[in-house]
Amino acid sequence: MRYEDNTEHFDLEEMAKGEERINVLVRFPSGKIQVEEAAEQLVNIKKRNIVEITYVRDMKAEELGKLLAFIEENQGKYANKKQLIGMLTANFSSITCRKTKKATEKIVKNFLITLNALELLDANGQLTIYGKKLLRYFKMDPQKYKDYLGWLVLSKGGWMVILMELDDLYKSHYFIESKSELLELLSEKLQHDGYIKGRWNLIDLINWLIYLDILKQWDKITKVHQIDWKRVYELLRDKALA
Amino acid sequence: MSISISPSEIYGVPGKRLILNIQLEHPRENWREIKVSINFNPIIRKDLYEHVINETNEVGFTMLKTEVVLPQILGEYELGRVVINRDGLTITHNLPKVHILTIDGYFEEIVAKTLRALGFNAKRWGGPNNPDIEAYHPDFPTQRFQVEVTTEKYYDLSRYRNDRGKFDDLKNKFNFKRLLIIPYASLAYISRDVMDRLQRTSDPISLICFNDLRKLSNKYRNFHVSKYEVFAILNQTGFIEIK
Repeated sequence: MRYEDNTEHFDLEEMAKGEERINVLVRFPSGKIQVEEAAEQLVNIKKRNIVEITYVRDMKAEELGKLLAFIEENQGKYANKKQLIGMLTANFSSITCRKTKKATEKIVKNFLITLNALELLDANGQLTIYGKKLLRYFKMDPQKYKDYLGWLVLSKGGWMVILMELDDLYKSHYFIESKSELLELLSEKLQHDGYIKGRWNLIDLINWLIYLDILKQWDKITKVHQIDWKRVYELLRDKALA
Repeated sequence: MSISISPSEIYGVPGKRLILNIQLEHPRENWREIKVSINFNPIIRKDLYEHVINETNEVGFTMLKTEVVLPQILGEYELGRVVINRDGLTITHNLPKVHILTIDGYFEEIVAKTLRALGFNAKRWGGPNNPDIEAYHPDFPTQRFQVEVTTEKYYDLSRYRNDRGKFDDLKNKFNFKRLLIIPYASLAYISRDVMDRLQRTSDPISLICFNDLRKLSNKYRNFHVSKYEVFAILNQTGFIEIK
């Protein structure tokens, strides 16, 4: 008697004799300007696929990892997103190690908007593959956590558009008086170009980009957050090659 | 100027085709001529591959393609070297090492590679008085596995007795704690007698079909199981099935 088996069988002979590719890549060193050009090319390619920009509010980038760890630890203790929101609200202070004056449930809902937009949670509130991978990096390697989160926000979060619009702003405005003016102008521009509806408070989003080393700290003399195009290029290129 | 090549090693049987894709990005600065040549190991291919580029194009890079077929001589060989010459400046890089194996040897390599993908340290031994593969998980280094693989279409009782006997002979010499049998045959081709014995045994012997090992590897790669779960699954006694 033999058992039933419906699994697809691996053809050993076919694999042993089948074609295999060897990829040889020859490169010549390029200067700083070329890196910026390449980044802009990539940005333009990615921009075509952008549907909407992920909103971030009331959350620090490093808190995202803590949140994912909490969700993983409590898997099976909730049945849907509503229950998850309840659990996160109840444990907010212990997860984030901070107290807030705002209504906690509203903050938690904003958290979940970000998690959903970055495809870190599925419809049942469980971690997706992206969520598990990001959590793994959060626990093991802070730099990889930054790199992977950077890739997520640029590609899935649509923040590429924000960098492009910010760059346009720098080119079209000779003098921006303050950081708050910059954020206001950026929000207006995003709204005008049809990427967002209504005014957004972009302060948290900018702080994320600084944490991810994509934007430099606010320069009090030049009055800009310099964009690190080389970093953008590396994040996209490394992921594209992976 | 830099050359990167992947993969670093190739395993195959005689007759396997290897396609070389060479992507050469043109320099930004002025240049006159770039010469690409590949000096193959004469055991593998006798003629020299050469190509000369003397102008750029719209996309800024050139794609070149050539191929080799692995000969009938078994062994481990250097495939050759790629040589790039830009206006008199030359750099070279070794092509991957090629292992030309029998189908059994190839399967042993594939199994060892899959175990490595599952987080194990796996070494292929081969030969009559050696295990096919020795494997252990770095987190549980004392729990050493003797892995016996077979490409035969049916896995029957005589083969099982053979693997078991080999385990009894080698376990003290290699300090093995468990025998893990990985047949190429799928569940439908494992004899009922073997299944009965696996169900009854309390000895540290397990059997997992290769397809199931691949399923486990996919789950691990996609973070559906942890490294501890992988170890616990492969450390079970009896028949191991992955749903």
